Amino acid sequence: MTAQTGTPTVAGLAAAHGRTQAYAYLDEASKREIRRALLKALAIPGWQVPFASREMPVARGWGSGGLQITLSLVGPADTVKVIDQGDDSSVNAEAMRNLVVETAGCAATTDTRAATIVQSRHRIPETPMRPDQLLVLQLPHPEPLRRVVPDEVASLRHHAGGDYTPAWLDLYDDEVRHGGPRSGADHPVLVEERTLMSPSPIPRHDVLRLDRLPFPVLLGAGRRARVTALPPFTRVRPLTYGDRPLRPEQGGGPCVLCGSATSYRVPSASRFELTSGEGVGAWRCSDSDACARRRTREEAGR
Amino acid sequence: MSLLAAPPDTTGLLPPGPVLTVRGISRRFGPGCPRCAELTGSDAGTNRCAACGTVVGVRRASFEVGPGEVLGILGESGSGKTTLLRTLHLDLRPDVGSCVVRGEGDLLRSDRPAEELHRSVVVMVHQNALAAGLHPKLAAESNVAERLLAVGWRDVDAIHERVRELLVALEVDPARHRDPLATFSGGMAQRVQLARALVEPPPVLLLDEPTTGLDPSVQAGLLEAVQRVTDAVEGATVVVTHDLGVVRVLAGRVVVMHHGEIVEEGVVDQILEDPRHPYTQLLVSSRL
Repeated sequence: MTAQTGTPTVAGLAAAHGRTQAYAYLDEASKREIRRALLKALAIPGWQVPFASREMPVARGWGSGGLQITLSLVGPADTVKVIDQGDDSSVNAEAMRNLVVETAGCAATTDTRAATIVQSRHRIPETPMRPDQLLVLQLPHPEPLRRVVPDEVASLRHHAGGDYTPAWLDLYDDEVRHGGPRSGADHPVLVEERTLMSPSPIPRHDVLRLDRLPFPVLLGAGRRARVTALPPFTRVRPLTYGDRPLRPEQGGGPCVLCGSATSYRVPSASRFELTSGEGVGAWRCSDSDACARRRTREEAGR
Repeated sequence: MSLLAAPPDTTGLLPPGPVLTVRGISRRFGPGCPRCAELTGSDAGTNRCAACGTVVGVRRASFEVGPGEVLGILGESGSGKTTLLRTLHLDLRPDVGSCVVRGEGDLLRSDRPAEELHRSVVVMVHQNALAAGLHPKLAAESNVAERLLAVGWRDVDAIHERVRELLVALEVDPARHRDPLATFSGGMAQRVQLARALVEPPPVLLLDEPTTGLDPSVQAGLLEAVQRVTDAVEGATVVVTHDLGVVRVLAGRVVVMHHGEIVEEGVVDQILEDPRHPYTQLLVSSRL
């Protein structure tokens, strides 16, 4: 290791062994293999394409799939935004953003409009994205039938035949026993009326926005070694019964910061509020960037 | 009770003639040899070939079942009843023979996936309800609804209404429709299985020992329900049992199997009151 006084870096460790660190952390062969899998996934929208998921400096299940996609595509001219449940400043988002920026030498931003690549954990940015931008979603469970069809081969057979009766049955059982879908997120979607896909655990608010997005969406599951993709303008609709449309979440009140009543809002409960029995705190926008922009506009308008 | 009401008038839409035509189905378990035909069967008194050890499950079984007709298959354990039924249900591939449903090609050599045929053409009610592909963790209502979902029903209220009617008709307590199937008794689970088979009446319904393991009072109730339901179905029903009482209640015609061969066939009263084959005479005299 080179003489360092601070935290050891990958570059430092590589240099200590007389080698140079690969650009954007992954070696070129790995990145090429991931890009090939992505091309195949884009050619078959919604289809799960296997890839050789690499060991990453984050635990599997903590965004290693999304990170591999981002690192295989990023270039020095890119501007990367990483969000975690809509928040740019969570520990996880900060750590991954730093990794990408330090190993690829690219720029970072929290502004959705300025980003060329947006890596997201479980949210689609509420600021509209352009066709020249790329959305990378972290995907914990790529197989939408897994909960009802535990056998991998049987799942493949269902996909091959376009027979999604088990998924419909699961939804029906939820209706019968719970009065509606059990899952608050990760509602299965039908891509181009053909392939059932897990959209990652995005809220229903975002599931309803997936249809015909003008930019590509790439979904990476590092733990399960699968990528799926939606090319621009792909038809996507949630799997729902004719008399039970999927409805977006309703917050308990408008955002305490920007006053929005149409954005996806989450309760901002502090530990004190939760433990003191006072219940949830004020509701605020999940997407911190969009919320900040609304506040800025509001202040400018005064 | 819409299921038990008169079925839709399909006069002129369905081809005339039998719904189910079975011709020369044979299935053996083993390599077979030239002496199998001579050393097995009813006359030989065994279905195991002494020369090569092959077990002849079914040999040259042929019969027809007309619309709305219930055919009983009688025989002792090991006579080939279930082998024949599993062959018709596409669980076993026959060595030779054909099975034509409503004159549309050989079902046993169809290009369509077996799962699809099990939904739309040939449905079986198994002896053990919980080992019959039902989902013990799902609600009873969901288990019945699965076949409707498979054929494209996409309206929760309509599905719920249809399933509820059928379960009530089969005397399943409405308070339990939403309970997981695993919490049901054997008799109740069997009713759920029957409801699942009949929620979308198939052209061919196969019942494998539908009352085995149930106590007499439950048997009687179930038989009555099956009878009401089969009366309303336009398809062909085949009931396999070793219980003469079940055949007497449900079936109009009966075939008797012995060591893999059909040894006698006729209307129920004739077979049970005036059996001709020595084995049938033994079977009837020992059970009545």
